[in-house]
Amino acid sequence: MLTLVIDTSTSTSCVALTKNGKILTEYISNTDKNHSETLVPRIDTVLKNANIKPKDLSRIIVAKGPGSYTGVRIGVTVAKTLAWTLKVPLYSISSLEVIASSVEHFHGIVIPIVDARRNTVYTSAFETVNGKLNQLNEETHVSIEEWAGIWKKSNKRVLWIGSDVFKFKDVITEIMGDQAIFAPEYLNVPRLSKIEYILGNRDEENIHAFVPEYAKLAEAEAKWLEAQNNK
Amino acid sequence: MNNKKDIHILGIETSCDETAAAVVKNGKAILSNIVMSQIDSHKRFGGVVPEVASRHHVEVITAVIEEALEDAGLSIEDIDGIAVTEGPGLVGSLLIGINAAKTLALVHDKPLIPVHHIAGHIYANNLVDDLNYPLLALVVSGGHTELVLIREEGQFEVIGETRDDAAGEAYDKVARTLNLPYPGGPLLDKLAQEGKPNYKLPIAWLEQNSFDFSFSGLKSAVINTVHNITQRGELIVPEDLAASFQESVTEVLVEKAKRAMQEHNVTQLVVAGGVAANKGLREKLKNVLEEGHGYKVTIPPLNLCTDNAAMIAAAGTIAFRNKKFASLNLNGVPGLELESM
Ligand SMILES: [Zn+2]
Repeated sequence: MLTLVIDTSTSTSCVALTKNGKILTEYISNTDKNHSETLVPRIDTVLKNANIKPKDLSRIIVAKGPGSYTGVRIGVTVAKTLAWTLKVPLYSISSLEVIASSVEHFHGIVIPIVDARRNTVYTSAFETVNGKLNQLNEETHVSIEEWAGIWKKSNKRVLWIGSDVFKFKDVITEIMGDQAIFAPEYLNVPRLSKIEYILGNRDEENIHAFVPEYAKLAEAEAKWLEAQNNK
Repeated sequence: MNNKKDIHILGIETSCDETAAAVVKNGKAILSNIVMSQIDSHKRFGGVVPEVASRHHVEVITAVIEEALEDAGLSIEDIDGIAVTEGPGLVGSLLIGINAAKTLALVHDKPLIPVHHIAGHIYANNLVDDLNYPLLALVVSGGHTELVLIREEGQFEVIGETRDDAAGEAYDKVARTLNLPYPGGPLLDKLAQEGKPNYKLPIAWLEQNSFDFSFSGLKSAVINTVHNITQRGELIVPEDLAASFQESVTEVLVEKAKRAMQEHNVTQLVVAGGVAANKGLREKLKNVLEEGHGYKVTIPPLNLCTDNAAMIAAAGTIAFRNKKFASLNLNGVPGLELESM
């Protein structure tokens, strides 16, 4: 079983290739400038290095967001097209779960975040139990102050994770004091080879209908809805 | 020789608010032409919202391509090359089609053919008529108003273009002034059919030898006319104002096309872009150029004037013959210039 894993939901570009759960290649870069330009050539290189033809792939797994709108769309478009044209199953996983999975052996609450600009984040909350992640709430879009405030009130110690954490470290510490824990920098980089492990036996996606998880309406749509409600 | 193999090109177009895929044989025969329009979704915003457009493209892209192949009765293995719009257009929309095309090119080891959106509009004419070079193309759409001289196949020279609004843009803005719902262009055309050009509106001829256009002054003149008449407490006759506006736009388009044909010894005009669907423009082109001067005027049917992928496959076939391929790092270019292909 050859699995191709794709995550372009943040500025980090990740492509992994596994065979029966064993890593053949794991590509991670924080310097790829443009996913639209680089993702397909990267998949080509990863496959060629392993001497694998695209048609040998048995399934595709993609990080579906939330994250950069354009980034997740590129990952999802390529994943959908691959799965459809290869006639292989498509699986998806939350980009936030991918981030949280770096610290699945931590005991307690794990909060993955992705910068959504204007002091807001895409986030979720997980509880780790015996190396397994239990998702506590849906992916959401929230202001960092509000989110840190909620966890302050929980009186629990929580671990913040993700490559954007450094941008919010001061404000989180200010609100939560020593209830906030931060992971070492190397754990903030998503490790795609883990996805297959945490995917478990989830259902496959309906390829044609599959769309990213944006966790947020397009701005014009949100305004339009608001105007409708005010009528 | 009879063993020349047929060329089947799959075209993919996602430059604005239409998700489209098509299969064309030998650059001439449309085997399938699927267009998924998002217009109903964008209507509520009064215009195309780029983020919403991109979201719709991802939602339907594989289904649209599958339908195009099924309709053509072909499998992807039968396809010789994959043509996709490189630009111009909305970058977030372009890259959905491009990434789908690149993925197909990678998996099936097919040539990837980048196509300029306007070259696509021009070569939509190849699907309905034979083209004789040198050729003049009048490109009129919501984003473009250009006169393009094509001395030989695949060579483009823009000899005139708008300095401000595109013709289609002016139509939409004037339609808004007359309180017509979005997209107003086609409705304005319809209204104009019922009116007489009784209002005096300017025509921007610009410098004597220029093939350029300008429509912003005309648009302002319409707004001022409406304002002045309303100020006097009188009622405007929307049909007549629409007819007057239409007259001003089509007069300059047709006259400059005629002069360009005379100056460059061209005998065939092809019309391209969404505004080619405009009835007033079609009639005037036929009257002045065909009946008046004996020129040949080719105007594609409505479904090939608006954005579609058959036109991308048609233009892609010419690029395929010339082996103008792209590598897998192809990206969307929102402001792509029209050059040779
Ligand atoms: Zn167009």
